[in-house]
Amino acid sequence: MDFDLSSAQRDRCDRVRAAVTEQFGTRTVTTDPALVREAWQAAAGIGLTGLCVPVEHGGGGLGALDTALSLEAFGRACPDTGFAFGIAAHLLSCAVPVAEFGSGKTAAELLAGMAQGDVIAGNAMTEDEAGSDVGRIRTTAVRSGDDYIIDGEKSFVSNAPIAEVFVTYAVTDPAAGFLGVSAFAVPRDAGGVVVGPPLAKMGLHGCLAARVRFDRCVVPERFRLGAEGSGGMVFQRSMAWERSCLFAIYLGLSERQLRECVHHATTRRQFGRKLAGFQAVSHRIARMRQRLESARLLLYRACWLVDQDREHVGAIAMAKTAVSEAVLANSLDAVQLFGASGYLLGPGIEQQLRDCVPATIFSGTTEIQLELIAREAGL
Amino acid sequence: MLVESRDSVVKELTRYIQDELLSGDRSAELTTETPLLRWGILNSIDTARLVGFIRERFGVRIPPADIVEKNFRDIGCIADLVASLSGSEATNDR
Repeated sequence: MDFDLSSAQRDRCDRVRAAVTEQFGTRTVTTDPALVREAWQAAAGIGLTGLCVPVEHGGGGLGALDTALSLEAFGRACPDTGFAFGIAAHLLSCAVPVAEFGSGKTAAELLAGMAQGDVIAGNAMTEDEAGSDVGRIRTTAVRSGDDYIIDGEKSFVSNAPIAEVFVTYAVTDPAAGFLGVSAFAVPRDAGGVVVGPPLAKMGLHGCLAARVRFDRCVVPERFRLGAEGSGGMVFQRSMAWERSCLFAIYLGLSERQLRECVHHATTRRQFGRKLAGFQAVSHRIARMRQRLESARLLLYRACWLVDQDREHVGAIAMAKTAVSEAVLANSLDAVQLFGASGYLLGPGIEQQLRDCVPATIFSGTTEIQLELIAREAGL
Repeated sequence: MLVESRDSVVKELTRYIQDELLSGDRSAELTTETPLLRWGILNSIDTARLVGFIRERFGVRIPPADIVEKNFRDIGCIADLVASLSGSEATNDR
């Protein structure tokens, strides 16, 4: 086993980190859609909006591990975690299924636009009555000649306010249970697509999200992803990439946070010595380092398994659980270490905590991940 | 080549679904035509477990593209799928 990155990987990470630092290093979080769109263009210039999109469509053609490494560099250098999250979600829950299951000119055009950051994508799966239990979705897609008519409402679509296309899931055969769902890439201008106002969230403010209603929305067959009824499989595939790669952003955030904590502990003095001279402080930071490193290795291994095309459900679930729990615990530790300044808006420590809270919820809650791990263990 | 007969595959699948997915409820009337998907007996996680069982027990690997309604509608359809995949494989992963 070789635990080192190759020199090509190290070079790519360094390049991404330098470019992101230059473009976004001092970025303050903005929710102005026009400014967010501008930032997406800058990110596209660095290649971030098309990391794993096939090269023939203008993307980077990277595998899961290399995509994760670039996202880690992105998260490390960009303090607007929400912005990075929005791009990762566009890439992993939308570009991946379009690339793997879309076909023909339609998919090719979408992918080219997505790689360029011109076509921003939002993943529309969750509904009010269907969170963890995606089998309960009620959005329908009824066949009508060569088209489908989609009706239903999705309750939490990241990127929705600025998205040009929605990867969504609807029931095409109610008698087929979870195998009666189909996936679609619905253009915003299809008619009948109603995007709600931006949702007010605790954090990840740089990622705008909204409800999306499909109101007798007519979608030609060529926008369907995969065969009818294989929506479940399409979704699982997108989740394999999202659960393994997206969380690399949080690895980057945590590395940055940890170094800030070390700097703080080695410069601030109380009671005649550096904070780091108190074992209560140094051991807290040591524990943060241990959590981060173990989560990092699980994530890299999960990505490697995806690239090897090997069984990976349990490994990905463990990685996602480890990273999300580690970054949340570390963020609480960071607030404690920084004391009053950890609680104030401005220094940014409290923002990191708010940005980490949803990590154990989205892309499949910790409860669902543990269920997957247990089942794989034969329980 | 699948060593077991179709009847034997049906019996094993029925037993697995009763024990693992219906919590051992043997009173549940499970026939080859019970609509597993429509009745929600198979959901995505349980189907993944069933696919794993089929791989372990029969050495048959079901490709994701075959996980569709017509192959998992009922035990009869699943048994037919297992038979057709084992017939076309030169060697099985055991």
